[in-house]
Amino acid sequence: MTNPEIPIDLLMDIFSSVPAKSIARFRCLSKFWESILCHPDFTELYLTMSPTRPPLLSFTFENDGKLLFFSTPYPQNPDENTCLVPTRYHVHHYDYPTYEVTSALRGFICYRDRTSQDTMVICNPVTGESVSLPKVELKSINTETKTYLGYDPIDKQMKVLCIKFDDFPNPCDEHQVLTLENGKHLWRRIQCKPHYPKSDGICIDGTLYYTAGFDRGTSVSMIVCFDVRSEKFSFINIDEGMLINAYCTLINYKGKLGALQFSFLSPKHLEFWVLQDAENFIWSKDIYNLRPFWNKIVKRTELFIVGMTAGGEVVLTPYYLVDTFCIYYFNLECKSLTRVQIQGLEKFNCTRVYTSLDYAENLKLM
Amino acid sequence: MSSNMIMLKSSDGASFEIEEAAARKSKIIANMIEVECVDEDKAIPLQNVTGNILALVIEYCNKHIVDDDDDVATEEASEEEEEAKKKKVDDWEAEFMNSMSLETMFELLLAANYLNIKSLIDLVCQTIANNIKDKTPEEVRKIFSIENDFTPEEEEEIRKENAWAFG
Repeated sequence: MTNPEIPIDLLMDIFSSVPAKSIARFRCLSKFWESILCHPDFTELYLTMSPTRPPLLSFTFENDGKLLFFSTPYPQNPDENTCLVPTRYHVHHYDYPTYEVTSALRGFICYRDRTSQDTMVICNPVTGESVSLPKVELKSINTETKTYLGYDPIDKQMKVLCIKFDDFPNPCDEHQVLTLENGKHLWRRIQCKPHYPKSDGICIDGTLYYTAGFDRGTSVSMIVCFDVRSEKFSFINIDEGMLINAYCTLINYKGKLGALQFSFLSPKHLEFWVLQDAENFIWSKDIYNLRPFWNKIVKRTELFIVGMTAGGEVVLTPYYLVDTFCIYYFNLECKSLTRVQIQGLEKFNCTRVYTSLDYAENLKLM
Repeated sequence: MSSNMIMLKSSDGASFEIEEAAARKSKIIANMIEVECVDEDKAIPLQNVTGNILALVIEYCNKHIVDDDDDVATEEASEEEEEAKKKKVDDWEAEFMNSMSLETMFELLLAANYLNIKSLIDLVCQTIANNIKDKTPEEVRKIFSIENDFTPEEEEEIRKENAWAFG
């Protein structure tokens, strides 16, 4: 078969629509293609095009002192016969006993050894690269840290925010921030009132949101809003009626801030909050009863809310992989729960799994 | 809407009649109409597009112009209706691309590029991408007529660097 010659810009369009694994394979097509597929113009296009590629679920496992990364395209409206087989990325060899891992942002993940609060590592599972950040300064030996990734779409900069918290007499009102894409990594100090971060972060249009409380307990008193560009903090107070808890997952709901959690008051009920009016702090609230499905479909597993797909399905996963690995889709419209099996990860039985929705594969080198 | 008809003529001399509204999906033809270089009695010659490919382009444009009209008429359509409509278009596009050979896809892509029809370019690129994503480098070289200019040692080195992708 002889095919007509295709102009280079169209070939770039075609290649920016295949998964990162195919790109890695196609780098050995020829010298010309190796230089194109490694070129910053292509890696930028590839990242920009990620919303047009099939959405990905990513899984991160701790296993034997190593972190392992997988991803798989996930279907909209799956049925009980749907079965997903994830692709494995590079393995990271780090002999930390246990890890704390952030949710992924623009293909990057930040993690640290759970027992050392001051050393964070940024890694890109697709390229296999990882960079240790300079140590942050801790106020006392009891100071703890929580790390978030944020992206400023105006200056196109990725930043790492390190929030520090400590008990009396060392409350932390100084935290640290670092810009990732400028070659040298230097922490800068920023001020914010002492608070205890509770949830993972979600970054929407240049603002990073996470829940926080005034103490180590499980109650959430505010949602912290960090403007990634100006590096200024603001707060959304959670009034007592909302009863947001530490296991609440913040989501991007059609550009608005949303929150999903299992209800305190009635078990197996899913609460779905949306910040409808950000200026006046007006939230909408819906409750969905998952109890009818629980015994039949979920059985005994304790589930974590990962987030919501573009099609409006809430995705739930176990914290630990036990026997068969399944994720669960709750469709808010049809009020139906579907179990989807993930295959090929059986050897990670009994390990902690971190699941992210809408993982954007990023070919850029740090 | 008045249905002005326009004549298009392929490189191999075949003539096609198409509604102006459908032809305007092509930015090139839309431009020609704007600057009034379209003579009502004369067909627009498209030197880079053969008849069989032009027929596919016209089928695509006709299908999508109907959809665009619907959008205007039902601006207040509910989210479900929008979704149902999008699904209908997606299904049609999948069917349209389904039985096409890679060779035809490449020709259609070049025609869409020449006529500047962005949505068709995207559709064909995505379909070709799905088609090649699981192929080996050898197969992809053949498809795009790419000459392998690596020495065996160099290729081995790159394969080693990207070993995870060959698993």
